[in-house]
Amino acid sequence: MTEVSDWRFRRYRYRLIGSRCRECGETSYPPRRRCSRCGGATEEYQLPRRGRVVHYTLLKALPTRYNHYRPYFLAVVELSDGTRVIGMLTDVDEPSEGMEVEATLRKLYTYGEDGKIIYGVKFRPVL
Amino acid sequence: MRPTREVGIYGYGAYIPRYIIENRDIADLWGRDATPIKSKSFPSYDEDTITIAYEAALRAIESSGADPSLIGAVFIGSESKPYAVKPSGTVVAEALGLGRNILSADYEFACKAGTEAMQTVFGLVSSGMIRMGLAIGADTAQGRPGDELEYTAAAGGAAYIISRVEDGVLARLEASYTYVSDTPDFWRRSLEEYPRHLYRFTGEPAYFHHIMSSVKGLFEEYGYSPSDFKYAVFHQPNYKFPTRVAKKLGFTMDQIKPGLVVALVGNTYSGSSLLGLAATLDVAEPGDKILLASFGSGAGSDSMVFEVTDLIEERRMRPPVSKLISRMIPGDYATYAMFRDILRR
Amino acid sequence: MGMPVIAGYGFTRVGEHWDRGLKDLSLEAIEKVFEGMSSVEIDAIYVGTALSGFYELQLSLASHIADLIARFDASVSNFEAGAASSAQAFYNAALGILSGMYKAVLVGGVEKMSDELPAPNYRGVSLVEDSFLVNYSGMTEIGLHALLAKMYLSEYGLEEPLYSYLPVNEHENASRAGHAQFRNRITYDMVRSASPVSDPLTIFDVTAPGDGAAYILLMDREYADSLGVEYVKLLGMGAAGQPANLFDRASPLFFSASSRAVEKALEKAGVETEDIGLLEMYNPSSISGVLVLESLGLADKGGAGKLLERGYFSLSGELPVNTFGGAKARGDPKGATAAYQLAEAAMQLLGRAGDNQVDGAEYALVHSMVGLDISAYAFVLGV
Ligand SMILES: [Zn+2]
Repeated sequence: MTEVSDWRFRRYRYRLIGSRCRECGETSYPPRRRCSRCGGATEEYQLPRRGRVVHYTLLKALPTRYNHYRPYFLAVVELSDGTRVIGMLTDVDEPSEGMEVEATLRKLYTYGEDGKIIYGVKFRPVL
Repeated sequence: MRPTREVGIYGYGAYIPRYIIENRDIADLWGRDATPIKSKSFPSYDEDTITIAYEAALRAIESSGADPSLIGAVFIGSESKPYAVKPSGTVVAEALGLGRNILSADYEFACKAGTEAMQTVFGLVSSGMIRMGLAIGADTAQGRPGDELEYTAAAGGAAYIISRVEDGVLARLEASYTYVSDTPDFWRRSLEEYPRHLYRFTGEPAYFHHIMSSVKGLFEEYGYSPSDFKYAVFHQPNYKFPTRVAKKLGFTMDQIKPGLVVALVGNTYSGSSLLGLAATLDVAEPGDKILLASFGSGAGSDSMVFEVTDLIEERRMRPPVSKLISRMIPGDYATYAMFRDILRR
Repeated sequence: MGMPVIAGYGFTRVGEHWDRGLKDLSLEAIEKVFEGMSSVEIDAIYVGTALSGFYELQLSLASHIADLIARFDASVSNFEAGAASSAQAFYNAALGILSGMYKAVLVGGVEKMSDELPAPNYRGVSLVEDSFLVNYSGMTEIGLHALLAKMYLSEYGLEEPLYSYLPVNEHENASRAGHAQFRNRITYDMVRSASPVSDPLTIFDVTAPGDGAAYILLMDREYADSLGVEYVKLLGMGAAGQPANLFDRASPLFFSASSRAVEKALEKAGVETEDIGLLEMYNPSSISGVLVLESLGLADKGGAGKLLERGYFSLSGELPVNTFGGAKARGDPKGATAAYQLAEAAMQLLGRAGDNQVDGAEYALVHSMVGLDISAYAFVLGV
């Protein structure tokens, strides 16, 4: 991970752009070049921003770059089109299964005091 | 100032972080008695001016149904830019999925950078250089621990999509005015973490003189009087200043009340008057006239007159500012200090 | 020429070897491999490591291991695939011997994890997962395992996380293993009440960082016969993969790569699942362990926990699993882990397992995987 490779991911990270299979319609996030189900070619696909929490966990074993604040929640989110993604939750003290969430843009980490600030999708309760 | 071709607000959105800290908690810590407001918002550890600007702009686009591909400019007014050098607008534009042929710059004029961004977009849209533009005021304002500003310096913002009137606006711009002078009431030197201010000098020669000159100038040039307006919104660094300036100018409490969010939210700096306008649009009816007067230290004031149209009903921000406020939860000083990086791990 | 044999093995104790580095650990393990053996010609040295490039700033390890033991005539190859690094090395070493090019390959792995701090370690062990899904997104290997545990409990309607009986069994087995990192006995209640790392998983549900080196001498059978060494036969091996993204899989709870790799290995060996006397599987968490067991058809879906609870997979049970404690208790020095598993299986088949000896095992199955079953390897060993 570098300040350059982070940049290459920005569109998918900022906007929940996934992929959809041209053959069978299977959707994925992050996007795939070839469908995992049928091997067909895929196209970029804008996933819906809203969904619900299916499962969640409070990560206490914090990895480098994500360890400057508190433990945070990670969740399996089922988006409104049925696509399941894994993401960080924010602005929530105690999530619940079924909780309605929406994708938003938040800071993920920085490359130190003088380095780049990296932003990406997180999910928070619907306003 | 009046644009050659008529422009107005196509859509608007606002955002306030989820956390508030009670003024009482800050005052108890520093052993003070009086508090200027009840509570103020503060950003979570993963929020900054860019994420707040994004949230406000996203809400403006989603609530109004504006076509993002028609947006030709993103100007963000802020005094708490995440980077000293590197535009905030490009991140926001990319995250919103706007096109690549957009004008973008960060504006800084203390608390008036947001209305400055609006003035610029009015001109660009009116001239035909762009079809629509986003003007955003957002801040995660800094107050040195123990300083007067710590009680009010808050986080939040609002975004306005400006278009020509013929594209359908929810509020038509009737006129705008500006008044500036070299008045150093508040500043932050380069590389300094916190701003400094000159206490009571921020009042009479700064806030009051500039807002009153701007509003009076507008009234004289275009023939308005306070009774023409259903609502008025003034920059709100605290509760006392906007209520007093309203009174001095001849406005009633009823006119300013819907837009007066400072008591709970605090001073969101570049977002302050824009947030007040958003809260006012939340309740305005077609035909209502609204006066907006910002103030930025250093110093200056922009004033604007809007007339609300029939489109307001379908374009109102969802959820309204009142909902953003009612969802807020109190955090203690330790949480505030951690999220604001006052406490560093 | 034919399927190769394991003619020797050696390993260090797994633990925090503060005063020893990659080379020190490797040297101890390699000297044990050749203990009591007359001079052996080594055609190749295959070394696996998951993290040495990140933690010790040392890459191209096989070159440096060759240098360490002054075997400059050997060809060297490096393997990097998390805890399957040395499984990959072993797989390819076997192919080298099968090709007829090599008569003997020194193959193994080494890892030095205690030099790093917790946060880089949580990131480090996640590096094998898709970087966008994990390191770029705030997710970690442990977080993924925790969410899998949630899915597992919910999918099968289980109230109790009985998968936590797996570390109980593993610590029990390690308590009699001299080379194990964690030799303390634990109970199910201790696992459940330990500090959570990512709920519902606790520190006892997941593996800990450890230092260790393990090496194996893989040989052409005729060469081994000519040297007169005792050996274990590699009868079959298999490998397979599946999407890294859990939701790109047919079912997140089915480890299809592991299942397919084992199927291939058994088929190649001509051995039925029922004939397997013991299993050395790789499970960096309790939940991943039960998912391996269920995916290999060794337990009903959602039912492995019950079998664990009643001792089905204990040393004296129907199918002993991770007989020296597995990654949880013997330790999980990533790049060396699979070489430990292979060496332990060989010890069992040669009757050298001491207090941990499984009686009458004719065949042993060794399973290894990269991350959450992105790639899997299986080996069938026999006497
Ligand atoms: Zn397909």
